[in-house]
Amino acid sequence: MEYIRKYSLAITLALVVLFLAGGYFFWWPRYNEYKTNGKILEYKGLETENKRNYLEEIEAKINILSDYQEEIIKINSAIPIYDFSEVALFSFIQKTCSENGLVLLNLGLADQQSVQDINRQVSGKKVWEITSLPFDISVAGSYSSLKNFLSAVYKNSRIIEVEAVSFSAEEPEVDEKGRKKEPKDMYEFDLELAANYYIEKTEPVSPAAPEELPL
Amino acid sequence: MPWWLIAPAAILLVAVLALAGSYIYFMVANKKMAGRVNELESESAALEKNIKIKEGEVFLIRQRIEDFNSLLKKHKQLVNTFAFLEAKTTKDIVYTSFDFNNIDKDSLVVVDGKSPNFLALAQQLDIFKKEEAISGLNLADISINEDGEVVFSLKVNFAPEFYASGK
Repeated sequence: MEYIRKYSLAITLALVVLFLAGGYFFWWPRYNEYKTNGKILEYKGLETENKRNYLEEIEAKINILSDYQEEIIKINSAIPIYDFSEVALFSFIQKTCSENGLVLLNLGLADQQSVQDINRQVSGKKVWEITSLPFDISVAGSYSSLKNFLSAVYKNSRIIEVEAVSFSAEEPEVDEKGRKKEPKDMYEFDLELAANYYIEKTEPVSPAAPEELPL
Repeated sequence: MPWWLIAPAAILLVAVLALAGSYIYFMVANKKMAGRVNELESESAALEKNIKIKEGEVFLIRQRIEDFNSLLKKHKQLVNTFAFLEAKTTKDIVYTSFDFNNIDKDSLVVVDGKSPNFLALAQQLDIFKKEEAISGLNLADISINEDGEVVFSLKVNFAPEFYASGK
């Protein structure tokens, strides 16, 4: 007891120093960790909240777009996805020709190369791209039939571009008295058309840079 | 124990207890916070995935609308050309061939025709020159045929807005 009394001040000071050292080496790092974690939690909370709000915003926009489903369907039919078959397109052309009094004489893909391009597949990132499929037709009929046909093609929901049209009047026939007969309203029209399609193209992956050789 | 030592000892004891208590509190709180951060991170990752899917949907629709708009702007009502030529051509002029070419994107119309005389052809050119729809006019290959008619070739460029619907 006497011993404690004698050194009580020194013991007190030692305990205070121990307390302060313990505080500095054990308590202070935990406190800092607590503060940092609090900030991280706050940041992550805000980040998640922002993402949640953004997702809600996008979903609201999708809901708004769903009100325009009819228009979106029209757009999809204007530029359909290429299915490696031109049957539907050619059937439409044939039907439109006959509906407007034209006789379809010839129909063919104008540029085989572009179709090959469509069929080309490469590995990499997939993107949707518009590709034009050019084709040409020869039709026979009257001038007004051609106008009706062009109007029908223009008004059709499927976007088909008229790239070129050419026709010429034949020289009027001459009767036995040498007089020119009234020219017939019958022509052969050559048309170059182009239909638009969406194709899922694959962007080629850029080759990796060659590694530098160690000197 | 002397009285002057009891007070600091008590204070020290309280401080030690407070320090130990808060140390335990921080440990527990840190553990809880780390767990919550993990939860938020996985929720955030799930949201991110969902956002990417939904963005993809919106982007595809937006891309289609934009593509549709740009195609629609370029979409040409060729019947306008025929209607224009019919309305603006004098009865003396007879066209013998028509050629429209938009492959080079300059919408060039070439018409071959014949006119009974140069005066009628000049009148026709005058009418075309006054038209705002025509952005370029070029007369070429003029000759006289066996019937004494003036045969010509006329290259006409129409202004892009001319082909828009309703013109």
